[in-house]
Amino acid sequence: MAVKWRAADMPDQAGKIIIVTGANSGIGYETARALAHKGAHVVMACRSRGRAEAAAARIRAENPRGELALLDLDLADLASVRAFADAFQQQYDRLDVLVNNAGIMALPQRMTTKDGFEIQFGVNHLGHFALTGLLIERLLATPKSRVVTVSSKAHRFGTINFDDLNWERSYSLWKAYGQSKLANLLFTFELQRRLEARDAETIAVAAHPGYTATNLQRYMRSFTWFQKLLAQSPEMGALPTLYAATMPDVRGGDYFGPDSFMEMRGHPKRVRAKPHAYDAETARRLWKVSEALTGVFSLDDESRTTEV
Amino acid sequence: MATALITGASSGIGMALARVHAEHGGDLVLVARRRERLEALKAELEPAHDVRVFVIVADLAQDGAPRKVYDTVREWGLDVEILINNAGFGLHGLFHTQDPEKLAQMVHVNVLATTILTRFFVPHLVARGRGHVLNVASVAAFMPGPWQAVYYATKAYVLSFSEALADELRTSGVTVTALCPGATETEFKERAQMGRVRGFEMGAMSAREVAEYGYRAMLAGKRVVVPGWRNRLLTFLPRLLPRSWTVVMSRMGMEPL
Ligand SMILES: NC(=O)c1ccc[n+]([C@@H]2O[C@H](COP(=O)([O-])OP(=O)(O)OC[C@H]3O[C@@H](n4cnc5c(N)ncnc54)[C@H](OP(=O)(O)O)[C@@H]3O)[C@@H](O)[C@H]2O)c1
Ligand SMILES: NC(=O)c1ccc[n+]([C@@H]2O[C@H](COP(=O)([O-])OP(=O)(O)OC[C@H]3O[C@@H](n4cnc5c(N)ncnc54)[C@H](OP(=O)(O)O)[C@@H]3O)[C@@H](O)[C@H]2O)c1
Repeated sequence: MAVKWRAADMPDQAGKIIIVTGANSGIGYETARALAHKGAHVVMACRSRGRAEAAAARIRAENPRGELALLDLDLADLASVRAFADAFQQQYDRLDVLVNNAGIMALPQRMTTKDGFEIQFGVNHLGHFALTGLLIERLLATPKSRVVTVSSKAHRFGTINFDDLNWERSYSLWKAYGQSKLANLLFTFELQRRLEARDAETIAVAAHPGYTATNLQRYMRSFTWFQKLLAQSPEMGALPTLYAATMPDVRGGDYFGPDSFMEMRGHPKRVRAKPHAYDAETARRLWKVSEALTGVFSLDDESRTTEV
Repeated sequence: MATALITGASSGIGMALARVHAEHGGDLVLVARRRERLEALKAELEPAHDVRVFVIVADLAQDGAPRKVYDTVREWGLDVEILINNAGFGLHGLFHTQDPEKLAQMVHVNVLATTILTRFFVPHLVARGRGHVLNVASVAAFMPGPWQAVYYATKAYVLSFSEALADELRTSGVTVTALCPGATETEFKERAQMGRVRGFEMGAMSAREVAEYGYRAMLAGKRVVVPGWRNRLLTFLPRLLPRSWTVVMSRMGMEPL
């Protein structure tokens, strides 16, 4: 890995089709922007057309080499996820990289998605689980394609609360966020196992941005001074994602984060998640309930389904 | 609990049987053509009952499909102790106007697949000295059926075959049960393009009721069972009536209203 890797070190992305969810703000915005400058065709998947247009206009004003397209996606609504996948598949016959970036954090009160899931689990995990499943055919059809999912250091204190995944009995904002970000990693590693099982060229990788000043912290006003002191810029925060999405030395199952001060800031390097994020049994179980909850079945355990 | 293989588990009676078996804590091998449906059922049953569900997507109207199903089960190293031949369909209409291809497929699924799957799996059951075969026949097995001539004949075959096999295996520890439902609320009627007929207007049982009844009879080793008193009456009448009357009664049940 090059020392002090930066966005300019990305290989040329001309001809690539890349979806970035939550591309209108923070890390997603910087990811879309950097990829467009490298020549990629970036599909900005956002829930607000207005905010997406404003973001696209700002990037276009910099005259990037690549193109930006907008497609509506509300991860808090499975019908919208399906509509997005349908619309995408109508317009594109390949998908080089899917960046599962959008996220929300630490809502003071329990809120739910359209389908009744606790919103952090619903948006951060289930929405992306469904999206990936619905787009899997395009990914499998594209050589060397990737799924990059943005997790967080918060996975460390997360556990999967199988008895009450949607926090109906008790809600704690940090537990709920931690669960959703641990789910991102379990999902990535399980996806990688399933892709390997069918010898697919597609790989699944994860990234985390350290501590980055974005809109994510909107519900935590009291942290502002702390953030000013410690947080890095969204340009820096996007680097691990960009590395995972584009660099040739990336392998399936890799996880990238910043390299200095407790992985809170710096340039991308390979990092290790906490051991419980690699637990295959938990990952399989989470996959199965996610299938049942979303109704999206994509890569089944090859060994237990066959066509004769 | 033993592992059960169920054909036609993607809807109706087969799906209900799969649920009942999972509730008993048994692992399952589900066979049918509609993969999505089978995957959804697998996703429902595995976490709910802590069982393993295997899926074989197969078209039993194809030559060689039973062999492939059997080979797959062997490859997975599964020990199937319960075989449920449930997949089947009907086709409504006057025989001389019906699509020959469709009729051939019907005989393939209802008759051939049932026979050959049984042939592949039974030796293993006999060797271990226990196991069950449940064949889904129909009240149609007891009489000829104008407007569904071929379907009724396929079910007569299934009943005859099951009873004979049950007798052959009487000392082996393996039981063979023919479940003979009457009108049941499933996708059957629509798939058979039946429209309105008296046989269904008189009320249909739920797939769940039929499945529970058949499953219990199978475990008890009963040979021929008919769920519902009306259906039992219906299968009893042919023993009392002249053959020429039976066919008229049966026609009245199936002719378009
Ligand atoms: N910032 C950090 O320090 C940090 C640390 C660890 C991990 N992360 C992760 O980084 C990712 C990006 O967050 P960020 O820091 O860039 O925050 P951000 O500035 O708030 O951006 C989040 C993006 O997600 C979008 N989004 C939220 N709910 C959505 C929904 N229902 N459907 C579609 N899009 C939705 C937002 O859209 P709107 O603008 O419409 O709300 C926004 O575009 C998240 O997955 C987060 O968990 C961030
Ligand atoms: N419903 C009634 O009134 C009634 C009465 C008496 C007897 N029965 C018998 O009950 C059994 C189950 O029928 P049902 O009422 O539950 O009807 P259903 O809802 O239509 O289910 C039929 C099942 O058979 C499967 N099947 C049909 N053709 C197949 C093929 N070529 N290969 C593999 N699987 C095939 C179907 O799966 P795929 O389409 O996914 O392949 C489906 O799972 C049948 O044998 C039927 O004759 C039904």
